[in-house]
Amino acid sequence: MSAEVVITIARDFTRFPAGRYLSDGPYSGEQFRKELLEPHLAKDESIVVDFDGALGYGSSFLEEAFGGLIRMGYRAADLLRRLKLKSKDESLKHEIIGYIERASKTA
Amino acid sequence: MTTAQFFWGIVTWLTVIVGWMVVADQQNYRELRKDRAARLNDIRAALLKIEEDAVSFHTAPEFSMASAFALRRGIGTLSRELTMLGDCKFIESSWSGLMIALRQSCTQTSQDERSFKQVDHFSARVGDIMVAREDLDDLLVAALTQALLGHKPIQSSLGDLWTALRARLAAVGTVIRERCSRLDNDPDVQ
Repeated sequence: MSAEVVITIARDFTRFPAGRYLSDGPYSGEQFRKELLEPHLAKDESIVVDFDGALGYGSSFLEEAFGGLIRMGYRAADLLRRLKLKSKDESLKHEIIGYIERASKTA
Repeated sequence: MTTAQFFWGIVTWLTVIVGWMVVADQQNYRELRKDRAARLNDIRAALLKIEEDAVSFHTAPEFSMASAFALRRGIGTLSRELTMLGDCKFIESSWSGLMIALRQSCTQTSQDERSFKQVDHFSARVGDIMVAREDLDDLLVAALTQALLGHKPIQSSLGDLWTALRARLAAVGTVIRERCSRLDNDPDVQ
């Protein structure tokens, strides 16, 4: 396994994440997944995702960004091993893990 | 002054000092309890505001980017505050699941102009928001009740004073031992 990459959403993506799909407008969950998560996951890297600093997350953004990875063919166990979620908001981490697990059950 | 007078003089002063410390400790606890209750009530007010904002956002005839953003931000702020209170064991650990339910009910859909769909006040979406808010509010009320009903017995204050005194004495003892040991090893003193 290669190096660990740190993605700080507020710094590397936006302070204003919003929406689910690319067609919904800028800074959607799908855009985040395609531009920041998938390229690193494809290179077999581990990712630390830092959620602090952005001004609020919608469930639609979180579900598409992380649950969407399962729909793109990634395995839940692999994702949970390679993704490290960092946030002052504990419920955010639980919610994301829930989306990954739920998407994996329905995939 | 006889030995007995001296002894009872010491006992009297010790009783006065310990009594004063116990009263101060009890007073501090009461203030802490009031502060906790006030903080919980502030959080409950913020939670109610989120419900009002979420309902007016979802029932509005048109999508508002500013309202969607304010709603997500308010939920994020509340959730971080509850994380801190949960870490202190001040609220039950089930808060996290209830917070997720609230965030989902408010922000799972209609977060952009394209997918926005106005709902009426008696829709399932509004019902979900209200239920999620009430569930989280119940947890806060339980913590509030605990904060208000909780009291600190006198024995507990005395126990805390004794623990603090022992720690202080142990620290003084350590300093004295270190100094003695330094003197023992000092060739000039020997």
